[in-house]
Amino acid sequence: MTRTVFEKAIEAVGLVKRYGEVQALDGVDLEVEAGTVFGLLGPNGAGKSTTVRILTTLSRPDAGTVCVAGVDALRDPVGVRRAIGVVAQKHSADPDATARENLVLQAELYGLRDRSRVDELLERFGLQDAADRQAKTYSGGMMRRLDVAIGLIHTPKVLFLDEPTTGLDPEARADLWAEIERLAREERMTILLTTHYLEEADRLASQIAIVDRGRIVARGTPDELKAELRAEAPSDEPVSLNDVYLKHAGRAVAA
Amino acid sequence: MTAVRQSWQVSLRYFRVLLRQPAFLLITIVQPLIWLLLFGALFKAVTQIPGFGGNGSYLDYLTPGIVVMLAVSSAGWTGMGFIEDINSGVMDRLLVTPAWRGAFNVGSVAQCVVSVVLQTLLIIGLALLMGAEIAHAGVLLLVAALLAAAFASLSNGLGVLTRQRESLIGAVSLLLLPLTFLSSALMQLSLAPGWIETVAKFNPVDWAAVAARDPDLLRIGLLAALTVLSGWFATRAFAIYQRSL
Ligand SMILES: Nc1ncnc2c1ncn2[C@@H]1O[C@H](COP(=O)(O)OP(=O)(O)O)[C@@H](O)[C@H]1O
Ligand SMILES: [Mg+2]
Repeated sequence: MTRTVFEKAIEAVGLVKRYGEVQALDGVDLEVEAGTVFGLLGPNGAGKSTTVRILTTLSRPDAGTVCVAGVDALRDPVGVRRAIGVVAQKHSADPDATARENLVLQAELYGLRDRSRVDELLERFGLQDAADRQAKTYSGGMMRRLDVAIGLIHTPKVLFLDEPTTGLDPEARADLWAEIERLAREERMTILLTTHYLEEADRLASQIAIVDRGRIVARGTPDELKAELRAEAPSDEPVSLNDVYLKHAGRAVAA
Repeated sequence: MTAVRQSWQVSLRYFRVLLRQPAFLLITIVQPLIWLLLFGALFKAVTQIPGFGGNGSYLDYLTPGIVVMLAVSSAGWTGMGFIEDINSGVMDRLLVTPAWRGAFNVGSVAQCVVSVVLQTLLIIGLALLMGAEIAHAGVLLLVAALLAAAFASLSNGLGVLTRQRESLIGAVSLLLLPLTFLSSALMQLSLAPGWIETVAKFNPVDWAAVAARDPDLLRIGLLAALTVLSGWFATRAFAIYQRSL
C-alpha cells in the first residue's frame, strides 16, 4: 500500500470534528508538498492539536478524508503510522525510564532492533551524558529534545510537531529551530508544525495556514500573506506576520 | 513473533518501575507473608467448626485461598499505570506507533503475573515451613497466574475507558471483598448460606480457589477463557479510547 514516492505528503479534505457542543474542526482542508515545512498557525483552542491528532491516526474525523504519505489514514492507519513521526504537544517520554530506555522501546515498537540509531539520536540531541538517567530528572529543554528524538527513531517520512517550542527558553528554542531546519534540508523530511509563535512559522515554514475556530482563514507563503496585507492597506510600516494574523483571526495569537 | 517481542519490550518498562522502587518491591515480598500469618492465625478456629470437613491442617486449606485473594487484589490495581500514561501523554505516543495494541496490555499484564507468581512461591514456601501440605503447588501457581492475568486485563481495560484513578479505585474497592467472600477462598461454602454457594459458581475467584485445592479442568478452562476474554476487552479499550479523542 505504501507508495514511497508521493507529491503531496499530506492531503486532508473537509475535516470536521465535534466534541459535544464544541465544533473543534469545521471543514479543514490541508495540502502539504513532500519535502517542505508547513506551519499551522492559530491561537489556543483553534483546532491545531485536533487536526494533528486526526492526521496522525490518533483520532478520526466525523467527516472528511485524510491521506498521509500516500496512504489513506482512515482505511490503513497502520500504514500511516509506519511512515510518520509524532511529537505531541504534551511530553510523551516515560518519565520513569531513561532516555535510552525510552528510545529503545520506541525502536522496538517499530520493529527496529538496531541500537546504533538510539546512540546516534542521543548524541545528536545532546543527551548522551544524561542517557542513563531517568527522564523525570531532565530540564524542560532536555525533555523536549527527548520527545523529538523519540519521534524520529524510525526516520519518518513525515514529521508532526505540535507546538514543539512552547514553554522553552530562547536558547532551547533556537536549538530546536536549527534541528528542524536540518531535518528539512538534509533529511528531506516533510514537517508539519503547529505554533502560536508567528516568528517561528515565519522562520521555518515555507507554507502557512492560519486556523481559527476550526477553519482555515488564510494560507500562503509568509511573504504572500504579508504582501496581500501590504496591498490592502499600503503604509510605510513594515508588515509582520502578526499583522496578517490579527487581520484574519481578529485577536491576538497567544490567548 | 513481533507481537511477543513487542510485549516483552513493553513489560520491561513495568519491571524496571518495580525494581527501581525498593519500597514497592519490599511490599510485594512482605505482603503475602503478612497475609498468610494474619489470616492463618485468624482462621485457625474456622477449620474446627463441625462440618468444615478439612482433614488436613488449617494451613492446607487456607494457603490456596490466600494466594487467589492476593492475585485478584494485586491485579486489580494494574490499570493505574494506563491511567497515568493517558494523563501524562505516554499513551498517545504509544498509540501512534504501528505496534500491535495487544502488546501494551500483555506487557503490563506480564509484570503483574510475574509478581503474583513470585508472591505465590513465597507463600507456598512459608506455608511449607509452617508445616502445611500443598498437594497441587503447580496448579496453584497456574490458577494464580490465570486469575491475575484476567483481572489485570480487566483493570487495564477499565482504566483506559474511565481514565480516572477514582473510578478504578472505586471499582476495585467495590468488587474485591465480594469477590473474595462470595467464594471458598477463606471459608468452605457448605457452611455458608445457599445463595452464596450459588453466586460463587459464577465467581472466578471461587473457580481458582476450588481448582487449586482439587484440580478440575472445567474451572481451569473457565479461567483461561476469562483471561482471553478480558485480554480482548483491554485491547479493544484502546480503540474506544481513541474514538473519544
Ligand atoms: N478530547 C476533547 N474533548 C472535548 N473537547 C476537546 C477535546 N479536544 C479538544 N477539544 C476542544 O476543541 C477545541 C480545539 O482544541 P485544540 O485542537 O486542542 O486547539 P489548539 O491545539 O489549537 O489549542 C477547543 O475548544 C478544545 O477545548
Ligand atoms: Mg494544541
